Amino acid sequence: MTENPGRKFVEWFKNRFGLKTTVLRPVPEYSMNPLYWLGALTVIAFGLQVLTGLLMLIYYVPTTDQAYTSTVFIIQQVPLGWLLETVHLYGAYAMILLTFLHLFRGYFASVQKKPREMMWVTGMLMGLTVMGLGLTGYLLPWTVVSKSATDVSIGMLSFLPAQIGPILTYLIAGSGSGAAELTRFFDLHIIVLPAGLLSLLALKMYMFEAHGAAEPVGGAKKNSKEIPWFPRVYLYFAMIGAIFVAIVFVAAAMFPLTLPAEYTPQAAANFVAQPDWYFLWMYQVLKVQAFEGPGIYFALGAVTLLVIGLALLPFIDRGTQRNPKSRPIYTTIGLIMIAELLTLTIWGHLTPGQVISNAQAVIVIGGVAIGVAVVSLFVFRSNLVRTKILKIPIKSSLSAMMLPFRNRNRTITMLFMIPLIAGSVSFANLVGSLTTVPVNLILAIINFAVLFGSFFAMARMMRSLTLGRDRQA
Amino acid sequence: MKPDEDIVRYSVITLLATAAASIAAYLWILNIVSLQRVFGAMLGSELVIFAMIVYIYYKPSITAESSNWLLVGCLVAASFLVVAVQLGSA
Repeated sequence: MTENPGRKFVEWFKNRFGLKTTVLRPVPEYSMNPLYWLGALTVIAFGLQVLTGLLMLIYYVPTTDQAYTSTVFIIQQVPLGWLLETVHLYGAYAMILLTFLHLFRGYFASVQKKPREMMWVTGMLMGLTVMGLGLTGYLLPWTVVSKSATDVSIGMLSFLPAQIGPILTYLIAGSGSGAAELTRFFDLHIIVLPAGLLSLLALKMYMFEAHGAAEPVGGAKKNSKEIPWFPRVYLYFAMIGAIFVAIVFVAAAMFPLTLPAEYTPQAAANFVAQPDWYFLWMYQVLKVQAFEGPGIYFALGAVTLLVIGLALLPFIDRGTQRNPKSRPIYTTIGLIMIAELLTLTIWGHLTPGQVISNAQAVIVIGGVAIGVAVVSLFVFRSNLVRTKILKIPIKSSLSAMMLPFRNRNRTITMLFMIPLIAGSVSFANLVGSLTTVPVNLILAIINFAVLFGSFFAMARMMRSLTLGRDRQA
Repeated sequence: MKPDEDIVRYSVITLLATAAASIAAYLWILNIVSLQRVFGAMLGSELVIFAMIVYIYYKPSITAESSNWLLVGCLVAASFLVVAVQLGSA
């Protein structure tokens, strides 16, 4: 019997390219799930960016007097030039979105636990590089929107402490002239950052080959099979990659790019500067009244600490639990981060150029955090997630909250109302004292103490009422 | 009579490959300067069909789940083609 020619070719291919001696390790069966491939999709998006970017480089001229006209030439004269530009833009957006999704999926699945700590740190550095690529690429068309947004970002960098700000600003923006800024951003966008990203990708893939994909949070099935990369994993990768690229192309066809006006100082003077959507959350924080002037150091310091904290998460969260249902604190923090990112981004989009008053900032940012924390606490304490947090035998937090109002003894209800009213008034005063300039620290401390005492009293009353109810039952 | 699974598989692949080849041929003759949006939408449809062909190779036996996914794929590819036609006539 003669051998199938197709099979023969596949065998030849595997032999000649060394695929039989495992270029990439076999992957476990549980990882054949799109959620495990968010990082790989980000790499596909990067590949798409490199391809479209290289094609645009044939025509793009990185000088202040030709950057805009060459971009217009690509869009209007070059065959498929407009599609290339739009796919490059949407590919960048998809890459940034996938980076965030990959980060949060990893966060909730606790992929950073031993032995993958350094993979997490490398991934965080890759995420920052992707953000850098977005920032530097945004300037290149030299439109009034991109130049103004970049100036805002550079302005933020100059507030970094000590000599870091001036040195970093000089390195990426030069002497301050438009020509120096454009040349440096161009170099960073097409050479420095892609080279850095590729190096970090190689490092991460090397570690991935050593450690493999993290097991599912519920643990892997016994006798979980391993699938060789060629041809099954390769086919899976090709399939999800094709679908992803198809979505980018169709989005580009349906929502065409319209290039804003060319940058001129006169046009910029009449334009409200606003960074692109992936930096809006940070910009919205910096627009808060309290962070104007010297206060910006605190805002930038807080954002920097947040990023450093996330990067060092494997060394902070040392617990062995991986299931988000068993990690109430980290799960709640993750949910708060997502809610704040979304809120600040949408809020920033709705309030371009507006200074945000301290009271508004406290109510919205604090309200979202408290709201998410309360909902998360209820979910964890209710029957939806069976986890004992405080080891108090409360079956449902909702029913516990209602107990002071649902009993025949009116005295208990009246007594409960005292800390409830005191707590509400002190919370309002606390917000007021923190948002008044100058901040009345003594009043804030007194209000905080009353608020804390009220919460404690209410918790004790609910606990004793629940214990009494359980005993009766 | 229940059709032989291999015959169904190869028939589906042949149909998808024919659709992909037809779209590719149309893309080749398309005016890529004036009809760039059509090109983008049709390329999206082409890629979805390619993903479906790969999916059939990836899942060698046809199950209820895989036929559902194929149906979803066909609908998506068809809707992308409708978008292309719409953009072309706009």
